[in-house]
Amino acid sequence: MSPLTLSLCLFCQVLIVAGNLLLKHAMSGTNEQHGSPLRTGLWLSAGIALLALWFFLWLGLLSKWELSQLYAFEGMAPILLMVSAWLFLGEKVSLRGWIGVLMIGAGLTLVAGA
Amino acid sequence: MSSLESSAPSFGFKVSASTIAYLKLLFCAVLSAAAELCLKVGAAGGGKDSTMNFSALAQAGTWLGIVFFVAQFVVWLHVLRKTPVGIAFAVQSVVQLMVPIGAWALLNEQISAGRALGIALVFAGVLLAAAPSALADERL
Repeated sequence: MSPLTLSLCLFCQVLIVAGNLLLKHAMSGTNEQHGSPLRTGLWLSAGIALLALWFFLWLGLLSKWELSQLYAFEGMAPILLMVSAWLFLGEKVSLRGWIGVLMIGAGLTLVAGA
Repeated sequence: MSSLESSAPSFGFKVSASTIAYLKLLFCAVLSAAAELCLKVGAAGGGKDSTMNFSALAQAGTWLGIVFFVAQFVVWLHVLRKTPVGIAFAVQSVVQLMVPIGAWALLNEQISAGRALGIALVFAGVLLAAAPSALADERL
């Protein structure tokens, strides 16, 4: 795998994480009584745009590389997402949550590689 | 005891908000898997005329897959209103196990020891991270 492909794979994971953070931010706003639909729509569109970009980038990678090689990166997404939801959205994560997500990441990598 | 504990119908017993969140996530995972399966059937049905497989659009499976995909997205957004995204996304990882498990159960395909260990790890991790009490943390 070339450095370019490697960084594209990593960029894909960043897109999934950022896209879902934006979706979560948009939907959290709908719980507030004075939340504005326009704001929700804007955050939602931004999230959907990132996920759409991910989708086409992923399709491009799938056409060139083996599924098992690409899926090895999938294990990173849950861990990255939990860390960034904790950092950027202030989500509280219990110790059980951290241990659980590390097991999920390791497990997904094993499933893809084995 | 208040009967307004949750908005979901209760059938004589009380269903906690976290259990409902869990069930919605599970529903979301099933829709994801159904979408992928239908898209695969649709894509295989079309010809392999070019790199962009437009002939797949003539297949019913493709459109059914798109319907499942949109439904999954709507349920996902609904789940995100109340559930922490870190936990919700982690639970969705079970979708990636449905193919190897389905192939083993329905097609008698072998699962290697490494892959079996991976599947067990993911399930244990999901149970640990997404125990109903963890989902209830953000309950308003």
